[in-house]
Amino acid sequence: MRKTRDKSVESRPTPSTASGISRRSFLKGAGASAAGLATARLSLPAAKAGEQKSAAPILGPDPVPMTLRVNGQTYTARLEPRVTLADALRDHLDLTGTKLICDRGACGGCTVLLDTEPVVSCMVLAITAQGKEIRTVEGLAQNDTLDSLQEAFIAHDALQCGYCTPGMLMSCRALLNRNPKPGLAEIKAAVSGNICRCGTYPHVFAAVLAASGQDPQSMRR
Amino acid sequence: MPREVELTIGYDDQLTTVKRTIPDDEPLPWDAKSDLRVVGKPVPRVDAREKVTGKAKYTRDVKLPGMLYGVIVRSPYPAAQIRKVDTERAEKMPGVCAVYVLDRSQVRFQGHEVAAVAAETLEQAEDAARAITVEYAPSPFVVTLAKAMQSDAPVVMPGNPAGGGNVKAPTGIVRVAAAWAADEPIQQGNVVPLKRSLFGKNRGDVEEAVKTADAVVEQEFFTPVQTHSCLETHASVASWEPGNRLVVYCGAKSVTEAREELADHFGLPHSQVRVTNEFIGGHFGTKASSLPYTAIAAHLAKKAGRPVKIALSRKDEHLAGGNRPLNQMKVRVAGTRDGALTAVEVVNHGSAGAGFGAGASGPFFSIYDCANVRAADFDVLMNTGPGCAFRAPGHPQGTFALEVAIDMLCERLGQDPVEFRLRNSCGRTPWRAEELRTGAERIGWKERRNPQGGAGTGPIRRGIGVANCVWYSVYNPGAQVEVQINKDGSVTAFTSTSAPGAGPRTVIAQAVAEELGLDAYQIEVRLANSDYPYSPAPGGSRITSTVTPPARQAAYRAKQTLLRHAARKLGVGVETLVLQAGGQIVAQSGQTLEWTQACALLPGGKTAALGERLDDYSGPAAAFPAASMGQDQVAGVQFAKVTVDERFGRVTVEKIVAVQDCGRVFNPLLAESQLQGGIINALSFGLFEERVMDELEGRMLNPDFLFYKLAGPREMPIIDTVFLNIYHGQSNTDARNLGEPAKVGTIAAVVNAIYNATGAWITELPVTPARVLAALEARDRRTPA
Repeated sequence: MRKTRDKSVESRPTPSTASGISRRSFLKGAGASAAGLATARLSLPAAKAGEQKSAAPILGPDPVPMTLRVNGQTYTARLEPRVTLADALRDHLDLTGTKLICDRGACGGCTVLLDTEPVVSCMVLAITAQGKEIRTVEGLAQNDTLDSLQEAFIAHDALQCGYCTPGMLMSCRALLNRNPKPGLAEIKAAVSGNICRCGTYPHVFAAVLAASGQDPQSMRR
Repeated sequence: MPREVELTIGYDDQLTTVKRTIPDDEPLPWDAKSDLRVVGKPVPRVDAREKVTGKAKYTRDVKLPGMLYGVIVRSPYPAAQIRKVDTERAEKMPGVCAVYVLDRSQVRFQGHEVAAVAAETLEQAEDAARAITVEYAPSPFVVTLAKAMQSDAPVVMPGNPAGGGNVKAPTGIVRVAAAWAADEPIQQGNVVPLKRSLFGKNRGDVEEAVKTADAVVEQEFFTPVQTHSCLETHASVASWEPGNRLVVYCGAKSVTEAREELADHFGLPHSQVRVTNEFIGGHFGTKASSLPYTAIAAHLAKKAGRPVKIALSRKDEHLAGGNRPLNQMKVRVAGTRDGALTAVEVVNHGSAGAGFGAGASGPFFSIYDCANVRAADFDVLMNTGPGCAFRAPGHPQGTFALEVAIDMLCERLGQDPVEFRLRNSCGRTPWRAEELRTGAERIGWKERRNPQGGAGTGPIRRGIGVANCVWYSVYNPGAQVEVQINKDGSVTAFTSTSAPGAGPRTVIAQAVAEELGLDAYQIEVRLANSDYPYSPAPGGSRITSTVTPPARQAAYRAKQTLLRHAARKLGVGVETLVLQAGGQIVAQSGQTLEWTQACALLPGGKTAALGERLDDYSGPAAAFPAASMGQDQVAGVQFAKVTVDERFGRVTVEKIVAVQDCGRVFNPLLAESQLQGGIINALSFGLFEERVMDELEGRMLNPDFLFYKLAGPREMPIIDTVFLNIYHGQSNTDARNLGEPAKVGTIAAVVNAIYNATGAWITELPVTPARVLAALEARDRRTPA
């Protein structure tokens, strides 16, 4: 958030993007009430809602001031309203523990806790995360003491390349927060949105069982 | 002076002794009888803490002062001439600092790089990339195998395959294969024959064997393109330092190869380029080359006078980040009623798109002892992203075809699939028999019902299947590791290989710690810097086998220096000293020195030694520019237990039993991760993954993680892994290869289990419900209910 941005310029699709409107340009277009065909069709309900609350301020496309609470610390910055929470954390707050992997909410790699809820931060606009407690993988350990889940991930080798690990950990932390003794099926459900390309899932299950005081060998039967 | 040593080799109770000649300064090799403290133990990986705290810095996480974000403009067309690239509007856009246009007049696949832009923020760079106008003249293209093979098909690219025009040449083993293909430039249209294989030669007389066989199976198999889908996409940060030095953070798996590529590209001495990374978010075979994305970042950085980061989007990664080629394999196997396999043949037409390396004949040469084998591989060019090495190149595909055909043959011959494999696939790897017996017991093979498939009446069918795995003792002689002992007792090991998920830091730390009497966590391992001593890219599953012997040798040599200083201090002969567990040095005289006391004696505060990977003590079976292959293979067997719901064609894999050898199991905890990972990647490949091309537009329809389906947590079977330690007495650590054989046999075992459950053969991957239903329909036509 040490950077501000100049006013963005309206983009026009060229053949290089003809295969699809990018989410960024869509979000930006929607935010700026642009009149592209797809935008107009998709944002119709929102426009109606907007009419009812005509006093609501229009934000963007220029950077606007934002305040985010991350791991107990307060950050302020000027960001364009289209900036996602994942990009804000990684590119502007330098909290790169959160990984951006598919950028479409399909892999769970960017999972963070918003208050107590696990969310995929690539599908959350930073501006809407204001006023909430954001917890990232950097906030799991207290000082130098690892969370019991982190310890279990190490002991059971629930990580290989480690790139999905932050998202896995946050999904599992959210699970243990709401259910301190989950069964295998509940563990699978809790991480069902998290993709691991190295294929570490069985060790993740074992780690969560161990971290919740259960026998990790029970899943092999 | 070389010396002769006696080593105990073999497995389980099948142990023998052999004599090996080793150099004078080589430590006594660990063998079957060695009693080790750290090696062979389930040591949690030494870099896990950084990974679970989010502190591990991957290339995509690197942020340098003043760094710009680069975005590459790519062709939306599968084939086109580039008429004009207009960057004028983009250059005037907010935040834009540099624009670069590639020297390229033709694009050969959707996603082929055309131009690039760097700006203050990623969003500005994306906006500016969209403002670059490229005038294309689209030309005819082919994106399906059948069309590419037609005689009147538009030719994707002519000429020398290894050079590849403007297409990235494949690397590693695949590059060797492509170079061989280049010796035989008999390209007909898009079809390029690959007349030699790395994995074997034609042998015997297939036609004659077929004539005298009791049963012959002829079957065609198809496997689709699988993209690597590394969670960290290809990424680089390039910056120029004073004196025209190029410094690059790059997720390339070989920083030394990347250094060469970039130095050559910019006409710089190799010494003026440094390539590093800390962690790699998966590679699985890709990320072999740093080109073109890193060179593009460096060009932009030069123009802007600031560092530039380029990280591929998920879509671009699918299009241009490499892939496992598709394969269409015509297989013929023959056997006799007494249970002998008498002929094996494959004709494989594979496509690595606008690239090379789609061979799949390896397993046909290497798994079975069969006397009559004939194989022919053809690369077929298409206008799709170039393929490259992917976890056991060609082998999951070829083994799927071969092992399913073998089960078809077993059925015709009335042979039990396990018995047939015991008889025909245990000659070159006798320990495979032990693996087959162990696996059969653990899956409950004796209770396997319906041995001819298809019995039962309800809609839910259960079945068990088996398949062999195979891999090779790939290693790189000449790879080096440096070990430094510091006066405060700390130890550092340096080598240039990269650190994806297999755990090179941990196994190097184990080897050094074992030799020095220390704990693995006391060893700091620094990797992936092109200024460090050379070790190869992880590939061919070669890292543990390649880097642990030089790591141990370097530690051994540094230890000799330390002991010399200790001997002088104690006033005793160096030959009277022993370095014990805990690092204590004990003399025959009874005098002792603690580790840190001894290290404090080092002149200048440290000593360093270089270790080198020797050739296997008995020499390699084959030596290539990119690697050597040891005389022994890696075997492995896998069993699958499945449930098939015949109403919906839904297959659930309930359990996989994997019995695997990899030489000395260096770290059972990490080895289990590797084995599970290979199995899961294979299940994902066989059950879900498929690149879908739009034939009319020539574009990929699912370049994302929404419609490109990967196996997730819910699809996980129970995975039962068993390791067989086997000692060959070929290096001082005797570690062999693991990551790749783990992926080789899985899907064949699953498909054979589906047959056992339903009596229906699946011959095309992925095993979707539609394909299962079609196979069930074919079964019912064959044998009306």
